[in-house]
Amino acid sequence: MELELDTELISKKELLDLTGISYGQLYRWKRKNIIPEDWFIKKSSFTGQETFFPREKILSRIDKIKNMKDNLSLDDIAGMVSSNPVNVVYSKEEIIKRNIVAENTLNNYVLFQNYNEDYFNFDRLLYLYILDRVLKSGEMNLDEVRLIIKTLEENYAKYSEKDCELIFIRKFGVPVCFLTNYPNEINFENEIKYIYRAIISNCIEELKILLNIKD
Amino acid sequence: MKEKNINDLKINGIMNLPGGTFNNVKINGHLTLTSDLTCNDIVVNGMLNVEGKTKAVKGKVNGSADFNNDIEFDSLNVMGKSLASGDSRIKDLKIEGQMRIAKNLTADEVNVFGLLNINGNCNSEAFKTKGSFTVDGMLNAGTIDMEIHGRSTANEIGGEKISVVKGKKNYFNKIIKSIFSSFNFFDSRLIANVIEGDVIYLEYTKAKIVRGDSVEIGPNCEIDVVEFKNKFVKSDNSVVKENKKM
Repeated sequence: MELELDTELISKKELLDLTGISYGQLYRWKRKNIIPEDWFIKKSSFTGQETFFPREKILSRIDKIKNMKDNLSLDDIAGMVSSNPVNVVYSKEEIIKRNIVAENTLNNYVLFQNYNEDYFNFDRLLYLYILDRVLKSGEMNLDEVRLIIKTLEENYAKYSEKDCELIFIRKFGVPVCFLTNYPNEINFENEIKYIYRAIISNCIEELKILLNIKD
Repeated sequence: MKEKNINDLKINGIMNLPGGTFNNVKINGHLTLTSDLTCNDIVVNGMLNVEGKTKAVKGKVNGSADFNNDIEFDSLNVMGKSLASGDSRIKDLKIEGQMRIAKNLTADEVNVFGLLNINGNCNSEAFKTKGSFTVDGMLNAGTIDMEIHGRSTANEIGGEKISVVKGKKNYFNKIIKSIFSSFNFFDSRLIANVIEGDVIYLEYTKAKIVRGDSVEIGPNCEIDVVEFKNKFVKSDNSVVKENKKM
């Protein structure tokens, strides 16, 4: 079973045509790290070398930038789309009031972890956010979800400053959850069923946007 | 720097030190630091060799400085000779002598009057040169202002406003030429594979592909393909094999 999905690419020319941005803007956003360096994929073509991008990622990113750039500076946007954690603390009340995760999710987390504190730091918010997504996807029961939280709580700190991926598989009804470096290629026998996968940097990005947009 | 009670360091002889945090550093002799250096202001009149990382607010190299790891400066002025083997973050970089950066340079403003070689990529809001440079990777800058003196090369150039003009002959050239024999004055031009920007004006440039909103090709250029959106002008003195409106 191949894990690496063949991502569809878009050429630079097509991208500029489609989005209406200019070369200058593209390079500017690259300089500001709003568009990551490794999205620029060089391929040789009949006209020499051409640059391609992962289609979905770049289109949604440019859409985001366009929506945000009227209200925020490029540096602010760069901070939001980067997957660096930020130093924030939210109380339970705020989390519910600002609708960051569902109240049910929060209650489940508190129950699973015996979490009696009133405040959540960024890492905990991230676990909550992932928990929320998993619960909303409806593909796992509560015991299995608990496994995910346990995996994250115990291991996520080991990946400081590195990107990782959360993978949840099942074989004959036995669930296994683990964290691994991302990008990474993993191959399993055919009887393994993938239930859930999340790239942590993407989750961080989404969470940050969620936190900021609701400001 | 907020720390109190940090000392100045002044070296007049030859010395090996482990590194550390200082206020002002002045080297008239020969200093080797075996670990990281953090300081406010550093002036190198003699020779400096830093094995660790270097972080300073302001730096000036009149002699020779080798940084064997990553460096971070608010401003750095190289009048002599310098080598940076790691990634370099320099907000305001001014080269009047010679500098080589073995990895990437990230800057706000780069001014080259001497010679700058970058083996990685160069990212800067403004990139101005009246000297000669090579960028093995990509030169990405908001405003690129080049006066060509001697040969300059870059694999890729991207930015908003790109202007390349032939440098005026003046006594300055002669001085530089006498200092750096590697300048090839018979082949005084910019050579690049790809140049992409919004507004582009080129003179004395050889490139495979030039793409932009508005592209103006001045005298003595050799371009294989120009792709433009709004405007394309070409001087009679230049060769453009193919031009396409996008």
